[in-house]
Amino acid sequence: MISQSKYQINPDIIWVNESKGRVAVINPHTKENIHLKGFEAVMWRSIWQGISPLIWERQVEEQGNNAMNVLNEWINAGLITVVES
Amino acid sequence: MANILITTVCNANCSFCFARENAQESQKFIDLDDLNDRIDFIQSSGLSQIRLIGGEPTLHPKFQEIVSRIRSTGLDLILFSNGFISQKNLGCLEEIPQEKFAVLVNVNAISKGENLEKLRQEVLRSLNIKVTLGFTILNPFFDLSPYYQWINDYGLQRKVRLGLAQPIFGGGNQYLSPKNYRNAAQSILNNAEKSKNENIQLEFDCGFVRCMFTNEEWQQLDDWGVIAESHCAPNLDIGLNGQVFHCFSISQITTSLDKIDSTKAAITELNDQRKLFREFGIYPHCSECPELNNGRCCGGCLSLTLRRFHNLNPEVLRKMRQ
Repeated sequence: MISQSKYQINPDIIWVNESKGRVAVINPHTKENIHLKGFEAVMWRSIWQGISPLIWERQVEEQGNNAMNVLNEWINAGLITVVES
Repeated sequence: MANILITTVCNANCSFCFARENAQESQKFIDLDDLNDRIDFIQSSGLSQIRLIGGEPTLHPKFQEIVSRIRSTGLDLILFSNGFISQKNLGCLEEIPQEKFAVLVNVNAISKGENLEKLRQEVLRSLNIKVTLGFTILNPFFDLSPYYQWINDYGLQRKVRLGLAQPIFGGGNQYLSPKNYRNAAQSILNNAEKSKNENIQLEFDCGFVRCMFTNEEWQQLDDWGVIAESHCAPNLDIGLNGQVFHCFSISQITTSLDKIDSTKAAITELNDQRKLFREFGIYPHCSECPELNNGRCCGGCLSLTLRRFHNLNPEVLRKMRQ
């Protein structure tokens, strides 16, 4: 399983924690607002904080391909990058 | 409306001042040629008022010439002042007919160095009905009674404009935390009842939010004659270098007089820059609030909203604008 420390949020990306655990992300390049909720918001905060690996693992395990698809979408959109080891 | 900055020099030292970023500019006073350009811009935009801001606008060394120039246009002059106005400049303001001139005096201003309070009282006495008082709420527990006394003693406009102390986006001033808005609301209600009895009208400046008050309290404010609404729109503060700011508290949302031909174009441009953030407010729950979505609430001061975002610093905002 890929740990969340393999990813980092692009330093240009800005976001705000909203109520009910949601996250609103603004991509300054596309000037698009993206609203994350549920497991997406959990994964985002998990990458940001770099803590709670158990929560991350549970999301990836429960969501399976969904989680990987979301991560790939974020990479393709320039929201996160894969950290070179 | 549009506000013309004519000097960054000030004889007051207000901890809540949101124009202090501009005070760091090397240029301190507007050139008269530039002032003429600003006046032309305002006239061609179809506005009827020239609004002068600072610093303390009357500290411009050619202030009397500026007043004379504005009077020659036939437009109304609105002055934003701390009230510490020299006798020399007071004279030229006294001469302007009441229907062509008004001055908003911020009562919270504290003079630098020597105590200028006696001077300010003389200014209020001299300009009387041309003066409207403005009060900035930094301490949420406040009493306007002393200022009601000024209104009665000097025959000022029977109105007080209430503003919330808002932060400069990049930091550097004191401001009222949204956590204290409810306390401020209680003080407003207490003062509003007194104002009704004194036949003095309170009026809200920008950045108030609906959830500061209950629906019943909004109704009560309305019944007491308070002009109470929640709004935040581009102020169009024009800097010494021709930059046009959304407002001085967010100097990163800006355009330039070189790029626009009217205040309407400036508003369109600045609204476009801030639209990314308008669906958010100063509180985490704002995004889901029907009052924000139906437009009855502005979500509070945009500068406060922007400060909620992670990794959003003035430099990132500047890049986003490009």
